Amino acid sequence: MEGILKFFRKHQGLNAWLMLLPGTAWLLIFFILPLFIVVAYSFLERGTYGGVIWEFSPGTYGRVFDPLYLSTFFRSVYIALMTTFICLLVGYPLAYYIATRSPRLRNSLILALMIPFWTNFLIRTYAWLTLLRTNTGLINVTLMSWGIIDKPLPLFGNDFAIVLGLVYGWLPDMILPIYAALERLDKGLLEAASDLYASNAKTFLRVIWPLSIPGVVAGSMLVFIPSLGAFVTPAILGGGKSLMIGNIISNQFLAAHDWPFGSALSTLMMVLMLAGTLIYFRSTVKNGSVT
Amino acid sequence: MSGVNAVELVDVVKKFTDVTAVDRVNLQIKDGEFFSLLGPSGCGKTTTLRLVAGFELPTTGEVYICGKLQGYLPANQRPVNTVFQNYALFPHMNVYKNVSFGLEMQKVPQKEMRTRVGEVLEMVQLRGMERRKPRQLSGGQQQRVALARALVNHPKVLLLDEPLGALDLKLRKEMQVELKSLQEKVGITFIYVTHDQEEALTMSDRLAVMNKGNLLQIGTPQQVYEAPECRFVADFIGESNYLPGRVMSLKNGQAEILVEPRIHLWAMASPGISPGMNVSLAFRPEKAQLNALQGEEHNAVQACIQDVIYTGSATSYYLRLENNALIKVVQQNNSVGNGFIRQMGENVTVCWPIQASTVFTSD
Repeated sequence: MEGILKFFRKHQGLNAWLMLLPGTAWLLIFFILPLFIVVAYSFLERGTYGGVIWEFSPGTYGRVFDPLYLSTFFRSVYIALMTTFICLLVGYPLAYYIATRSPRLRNSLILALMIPFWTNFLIRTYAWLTLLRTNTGLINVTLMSWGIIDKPLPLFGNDFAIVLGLVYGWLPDMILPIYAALERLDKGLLEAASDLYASNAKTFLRVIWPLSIPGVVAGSMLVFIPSLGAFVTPAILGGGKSLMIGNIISNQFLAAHDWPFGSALSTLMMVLMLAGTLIYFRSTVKNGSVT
Repeated sequence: MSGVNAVELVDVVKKFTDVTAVDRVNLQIKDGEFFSLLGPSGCGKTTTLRLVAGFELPTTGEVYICGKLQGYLPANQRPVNTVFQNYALFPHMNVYKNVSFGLEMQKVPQKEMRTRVGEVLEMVQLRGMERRKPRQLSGGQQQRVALARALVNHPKVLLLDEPLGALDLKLRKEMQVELKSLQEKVGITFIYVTHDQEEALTMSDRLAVMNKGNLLQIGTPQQVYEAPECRFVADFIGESNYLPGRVMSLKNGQAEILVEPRIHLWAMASPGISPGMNVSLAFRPEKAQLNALQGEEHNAVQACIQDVIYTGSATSYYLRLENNALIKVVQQNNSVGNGFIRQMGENVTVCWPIQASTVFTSD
């Protein structure tokens, strides 16, 4: 025992390495390694009933540039952008409201925001299904029985339902970073702006909004990235008709038994998201504010 | 604007949920004067300033700026600008954009804006710093940007909320001189909030002492120092000795005070003093001497020196009187040689002018 303690006192730097070891090992084994495996698979030959054959097959990436897959990809980007935009539209005022309440009320409101998220994501998505479904969904049934409409509204199995489900799912991820940025804002700056003849609108545009941009950037990324790769929400609320790129990828592995193709799609998506995030980050952080 | 006061407060009261921050304050601040609001933390001086600025609205009472009733006007419609205690510079804007912000909001054309910003930066000695961001500036520089940002708008009144609080002593003293000369050059009315009595005495044309929401005394620094109207003012500004006693008689505007057991002293009688009252006789340490003086205009008591504290340019003596009371006398060391400082244990006569004695009721 004494020998071990003496050893560690002699090699101080080892302590740091030892503390990093579990986390690093976990990341290496369960994240980095699988990532490499996926990229490797994208260059291999597919097995007849799934799995891969260890033969180099570079043609897989070429198949990605089929109009079917490209259109799905662009639709997914469109849906993810809509989701992010609506989350911003809804989330920013909410975050602003919460940030301008008294400290005690603030905490209660944040708690109220978080509580639904202790319920399983799948169950919450199914709940929306029961509300939105065309003939048996609660909304349509109620409106028709009250005579307000005589044909059911197309609330299900389309982009509307998917965006709704995604916004509902990811809204807190937009609200919390924006709230954090706004809450940190020096309220004295608002008084200074008013003292210098700024109207409320001008104060928002020139002081509050610019200083909340780091929060908006963080929130946007936290919503856009998972929305782009979503497959549970479009699977349940898309009614089997609307598919996103995430569904196509999961299909390759679970149904079509074409792992290399699924891997190629995944790798491409990942590269594109990384590039897009870097560009977005660089362009907004350059505008002066640092998170 | 001659004849009209720059700022006037009439019976202004400001209550927050459970505290009255400003309690029936009446104030007239003259055009072009350097006016200070002085008092301890929580006395209401900052709230009073904010009532003029428009960040708070009075519960009752009226605020006038240049004769015009402000009523419910918000801060962005009042012709005043504020220098905040923590400067409140916009962190995402450089010096130029900070200083020109008010002009931008008033839609001043670009060319005029450039000229005015240049002028005011010259005045605060920050020429060349236009592109810097606040976080790249020292505390003193940030403070000057805050000043420039307010002054560039040519407000009718400039409000300053303890602007020198965050600076070190030397810088603070320098800035006091700079601010005062700036105010004299520019001619704008300054309302200056501080808890530092020395600062207020140095810079102000007139000052008001506040405590617990009440305005206790207004006057020039000399008036407030030489003739404090109540014990709090006498305590807050400078130092005072207090001798408790009873009023024996009044004659020619002076009161005879008996300090137990046998000390008879005279003081200037303030209004409301009558025989039989229990009072405190107050006089300032520097008004007294350790020499016996002839004539009827002085009080004299016998005392024994308890303590001698040498502070370079002056010496402070602590003396015990016959009735065990302790008083302080401060004398300038304006002699040369070794013999002029008294020793501990010496018995001396302490004299001070009757005119320098004030009387406060014991409360």
